[in-house]
Amino acid sequence: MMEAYAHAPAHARRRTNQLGLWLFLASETFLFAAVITSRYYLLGVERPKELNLPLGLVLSLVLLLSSWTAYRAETFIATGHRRGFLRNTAFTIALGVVFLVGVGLEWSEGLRFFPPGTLYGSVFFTLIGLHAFHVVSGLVALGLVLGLGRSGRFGPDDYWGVEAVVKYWFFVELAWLFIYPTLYLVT
Amino acid sequence: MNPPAGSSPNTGMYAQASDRDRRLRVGLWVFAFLVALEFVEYAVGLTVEHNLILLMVLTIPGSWPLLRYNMRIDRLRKERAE
Repeated sequence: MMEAYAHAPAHARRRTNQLGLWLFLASETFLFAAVITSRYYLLGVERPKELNLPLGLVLSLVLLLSSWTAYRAETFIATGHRRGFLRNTAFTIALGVVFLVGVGLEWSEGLRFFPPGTLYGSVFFTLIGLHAFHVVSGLVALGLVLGLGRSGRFGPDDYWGVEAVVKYWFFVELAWLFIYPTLYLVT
Repeated sequence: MNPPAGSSPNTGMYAQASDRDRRLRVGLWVFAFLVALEFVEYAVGLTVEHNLILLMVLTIPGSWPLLRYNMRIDRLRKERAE
């Protein structure tokens, strides 16, 4: 089967790659949906007063900004602009790190006001922890893409590696679009 | 924007640059839309009680531009049709 894939024409390989990635993202969607649902099952729409809502908003904006730079990185490599691609990938990584620092702050507040032993704390740390793990894995993948890009890999005709990692990063953003209101805003 | 020397308006570097500009504009619009959505959701979270349905109504359709324009989910169908 691997041999058939290796000898398949480029467009067929690309189609297989796309389908595989989307199936992977679909399975991830079920994982996040299960954990998000558990919040409503366990807590209804209850929200602790101590939640730092402005910090949640800032985290959302940082992640949104990083998905914009990721989009720009993909666009630049798809249109043959290597410097733009490298610069925007580096920005995306930096913003991802800023997001993780914010998550660290959020956790330190969470540990004080609703530790993991409490009902809200267990949902909060599971959901944020699961998402942060995806951010870390996305950052590792982006780091690999940046390293390969610096060594001359990828170009307008061959950027599947970039596209796949950027799509994964968009998925991390998409998950946050649902996690943010679920944890911070619902009452 | 004038085409660079040696390329016709519809091919080569000029076409690539114009495609890039178009794509970057789309990305900027999606980004601006999502930022606005975050602020609206934040305001709803602060001011509206029993806001679950309202937030769902905002978030579910609001995430569509990300899926459609950034993740290009429609390509999956197009590539299968090719």
